[in-house]
Amino acid sequence: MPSLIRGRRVRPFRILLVEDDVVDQMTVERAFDRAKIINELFKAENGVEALEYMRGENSKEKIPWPYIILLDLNMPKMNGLEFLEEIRNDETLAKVPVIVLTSSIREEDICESYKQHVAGYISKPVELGDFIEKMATFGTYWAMCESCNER
Amino acid sequence: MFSHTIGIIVAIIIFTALLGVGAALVICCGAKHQNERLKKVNDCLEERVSERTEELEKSNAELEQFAYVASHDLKAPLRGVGNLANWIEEDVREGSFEKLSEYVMLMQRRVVFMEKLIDGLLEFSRVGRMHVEVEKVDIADIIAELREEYPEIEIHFHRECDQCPILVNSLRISQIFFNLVNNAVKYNDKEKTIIHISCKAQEEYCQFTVADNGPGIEPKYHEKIFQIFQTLQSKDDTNGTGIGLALVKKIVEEYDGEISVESTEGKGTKFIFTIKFQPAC
Repeated sequence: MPSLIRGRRVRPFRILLVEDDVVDQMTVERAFDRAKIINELFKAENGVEALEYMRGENSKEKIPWPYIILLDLNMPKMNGLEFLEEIRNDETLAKVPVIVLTSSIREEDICESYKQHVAGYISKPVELGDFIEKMATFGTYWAMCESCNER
Repeated sequence: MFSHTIGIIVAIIIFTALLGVGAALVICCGAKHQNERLKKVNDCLEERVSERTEELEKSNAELEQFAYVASHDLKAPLRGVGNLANWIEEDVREGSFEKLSEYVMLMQRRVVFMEKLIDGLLEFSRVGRMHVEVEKVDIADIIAELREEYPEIEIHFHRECDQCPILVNSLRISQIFFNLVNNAVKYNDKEKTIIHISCKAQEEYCQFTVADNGPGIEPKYHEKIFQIFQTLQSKDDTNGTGIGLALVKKIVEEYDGEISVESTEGKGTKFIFTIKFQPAC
């Protein structure tokens, strides 16, 4: 099992959580804490803010490259699908794996997300054990990738 | 004498024949004309039926979409309450109490929010459904009510129309102004909220503007803000349901009017809307 979960390797699991609801944010934080995954969680309230953090724009400090973007679909200003389109059109940002974490189970949303090459689609309410396992798998391989200096 | 009689008989026969032909022609044409008219009426009815069917289908599709969006937006705070309840239970079981009051506060806020959402939804669905009474409304009265409700802000009223009261439903017109002013107050970032309301008569329409000295709205969001449940900030920050402007737009359109917004970031916001009305005097 990945060393990230056992917490031995102290490379924190870096996630960018794009989610406007405070309690949904807390769900993710709590999931990681209770699974004892050492993490560095960056939070953005909507697509616009997320882009600003990733690009270091609008007096926001540029965040270090996240291993995964957890993306809600329903957000003010710029929703998940609009954000996806933006980053997929940006050469550097397009490489980050995105997992959609949303309460929507509408076919259009699922299809549109996969069209934008998301790595996964999880529907809320989240089944925690499952969720953590998915996170851990992703984190491990991406972390390996980072250590090989592959970007 | 004999040829005379025959002549008369022949004349009568010819005359009758002509009458007959004439009558036949008239009946024939008449019938044809009637058929054409019937066909026209039939076509007209068919067209109306298909128009009505289209309207109904559109209305049904809108209702379905609305129901989906409404149920989705109601589920969100409910899911939050569920999560918080679970966490409270887990934490209490594990003997950690530090976060409890935060969880409870978040739960209470979500319950209040859900009530607001349901009330707003009801209000929104009511517009246009019932035939509401109209009465003589003087905009100056609404301004007075606004000043009473929001004593801490400045409201300037510029009247460029007749002193005559207008004939509209007073609740609906109040809702428009109250929603716009409420938003202006809620999102204002200056020391004092200053609002300018104007009214100008334009033939069958009365044009109103409501302008504030707030932070302004970027042009790219000018259409989005009128969509139901759309907010520009997170609902946790403002406790806004995203129904206000959608309701205003719906009411304006019920009165055959239009609404638009003029605004850029940092320069305040001005809402312009027209209402078709019957002047009361």
